[in-house]
Amino acid sequence: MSGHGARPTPVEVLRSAVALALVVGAWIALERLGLVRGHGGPLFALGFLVIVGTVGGVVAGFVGLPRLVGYLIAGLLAGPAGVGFIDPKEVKALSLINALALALISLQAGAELTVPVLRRTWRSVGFSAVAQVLLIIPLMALVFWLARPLIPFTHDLSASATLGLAVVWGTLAFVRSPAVTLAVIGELRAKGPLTDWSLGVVVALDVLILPLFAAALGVARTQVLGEAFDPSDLLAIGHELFASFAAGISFGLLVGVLFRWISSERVLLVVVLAYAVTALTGYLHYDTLFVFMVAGCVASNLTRAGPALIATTETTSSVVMIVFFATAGAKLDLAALIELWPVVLLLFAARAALTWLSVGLGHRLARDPPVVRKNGWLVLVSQAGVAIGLATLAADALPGIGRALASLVVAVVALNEVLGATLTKLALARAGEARGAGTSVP
Amino acid sequence: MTSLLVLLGLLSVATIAARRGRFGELVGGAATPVLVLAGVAVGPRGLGFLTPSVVSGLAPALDVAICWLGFIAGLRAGAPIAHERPDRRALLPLLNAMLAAAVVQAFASSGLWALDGAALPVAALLAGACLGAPASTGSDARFAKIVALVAAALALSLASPASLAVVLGLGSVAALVVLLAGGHDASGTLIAVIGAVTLVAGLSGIAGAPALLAGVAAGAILARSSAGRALWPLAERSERPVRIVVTVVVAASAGVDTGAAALGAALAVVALLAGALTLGPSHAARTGALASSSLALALVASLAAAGTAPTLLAPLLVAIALVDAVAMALGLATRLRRGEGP
Repeated sequence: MSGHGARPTPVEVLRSAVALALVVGAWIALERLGLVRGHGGPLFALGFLVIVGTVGGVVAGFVGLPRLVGYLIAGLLAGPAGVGFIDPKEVKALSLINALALALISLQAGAELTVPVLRRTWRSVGFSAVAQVLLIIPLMALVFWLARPLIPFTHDLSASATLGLAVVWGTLAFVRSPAVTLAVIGELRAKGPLTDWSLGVVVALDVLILPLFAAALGVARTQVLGEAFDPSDLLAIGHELFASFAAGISFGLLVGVLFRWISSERVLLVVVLAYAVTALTGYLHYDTLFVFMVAGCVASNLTRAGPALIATTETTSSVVMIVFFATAGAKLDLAALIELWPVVLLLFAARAALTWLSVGLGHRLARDPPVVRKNGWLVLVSQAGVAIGLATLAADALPGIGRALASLVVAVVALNEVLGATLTKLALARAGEARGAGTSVP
Repeated sequence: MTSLLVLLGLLSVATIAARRGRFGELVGGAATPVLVLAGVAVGPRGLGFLTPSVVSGLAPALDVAICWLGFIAGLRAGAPIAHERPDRRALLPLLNAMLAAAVVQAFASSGLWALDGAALPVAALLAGACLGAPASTGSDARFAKIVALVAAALALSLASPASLAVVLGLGSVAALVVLLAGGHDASGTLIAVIGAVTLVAGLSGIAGAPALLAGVAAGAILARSSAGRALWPLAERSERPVRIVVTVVVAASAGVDTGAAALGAALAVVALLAGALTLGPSHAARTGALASSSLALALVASLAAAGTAPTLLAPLLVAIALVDAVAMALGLATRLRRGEGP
């Protein structure tokens, strides 16, 4: 069930479906008896998402899709955009658990980046990152600009304001999903050059996105709100990144020291530390994802805790992935997707095509091996929580128009998240690096 | 966020305290009085480290913890043990219930405690269940714990028959979910049990039913399955820390006034008397069998939260702490006499 077993059999799918039917039946019975009214609260929501996500994972595994696609769709169906078992208030209440899940995923991603992996991939990752910055951001901004007749909320904007939004869109298109990549790699127990390259690229792009997005948002504010561009915003981002880097190093070393002293209950130790650090980084306005990635990388490379840290995070990863992606599914709002589907499809296709183009250029410059050259772009289609988080920031920074832009981002991310995970699995299976469950090409 | 940080902090301290060794024995063993005092001290009525909002924020986690303790009790109650026979301990909950009925009635008649007549059997059964379940985890105490759980279920059925049906139904659903969705590996079983216990705790909370008994039902059904066996190591490892957290949080949230303290003291005296009568004074002192089960406080907290004799929470908290204090003192005295040191 966790994703490391064999491909589910029809009997297992049936058993899971019966389990879900029992839970739903229990809820309906309690409602009919008048014992519950309205919604079940955060505790019910969490338990329900774990079970419904588990069932969704089994079904997805059965049809050859990554399990996380099942978690997402199950969460989507259970959430406010689906049958409404879970309401928006409960989804919001789960954000604390979700933040913890993201921290653990980032820690694991960082821990996987060992010196040998970095040594093998730095050149390729560097070229790929540069190619993506130079091609995806301006060209996606151009696509957004050209597609403006299909985007209702740009109709009343001036040309310069639309251009500002287009630059933000281009930057958001550059965002990838370390969580999706790590989840699929973990499910398939993938190892090999494509796996190493994928991890390196998603982490590198995650570091680059912060200053790029801040700059793009600054430009958009000048065009949409008429504010003067403030270079000190970029300086603040630089400080934030540096402070996050330093915090990550300190946290990584702390993990290394504590792992030397404590040999039992390490799962609890990591969860407690992760939560405390998440709270601290939130208070200090550091980039949580970056802090945890650096911490994982430091613990893995500068201390002896690496293998134990990876083993510990892998112990929690099954349930963490279910909670994270099922909650992410419940957060997805399909209203914009249904309303704006032509432009959503256009933006999705354009981003995928530009990813193929830019990644291909990076491969050519880095002279990557054929297995990476052939499949690399497929891994980079996925988008998830980081893109939605940045869209929320844009909504706050651009009063009025920002919310509409964020809705469009969520709609495109929904497609990127589901299809991106499937494409990641396809790439790793085609590259022959998948060793775990359901490794056949979907 | 503060509540979650407090919870994780408590859990860390509890895990360290529950480790084996001299410190663990002192803090994690039969140290309910210490934990109750610590809970009262850090709670809103003490030093106020745990504010009322933090304590109320801990309520969902407390529900899950209590349901998990019930689940462990169910696993233990349903586990197969060869060549077992009920001994005199099985009578303890019933004897305690009878004596508690007399005490509560006396307090109610003399105006020291407000209790209507219909609630007396419920209060007596609940007190018997809490004070009659012994501390031992061995097979010798198993029947006493089963009788205690049946007494608690009876108390619930008298207070609210529908709630009993709800907890049995939810427990069965949770067990079936684990069996059906848990897959064949330990990781799958663990995820399914996390989901099922959280769900049942949440549903019990909103349906006004005690999560602990739903957990007991689920654990008992799973006890003889491969899923139950796969969960044993985690159950054993987590029981002491979870129990410590539950005790501290319940003590922090309970308000103990003079009347509750007096009733609690009287109940403790009769519980000690019942233990001495049933087991023999020297045996009870030597083996520490007078101490109450880890289930006791969770049981009364869970039933009280579900509206079953809620006023008994504070007196039973005092009674459990006093009984355990006496058991600890007797155990220590016995060891000192034998020259084993504290």
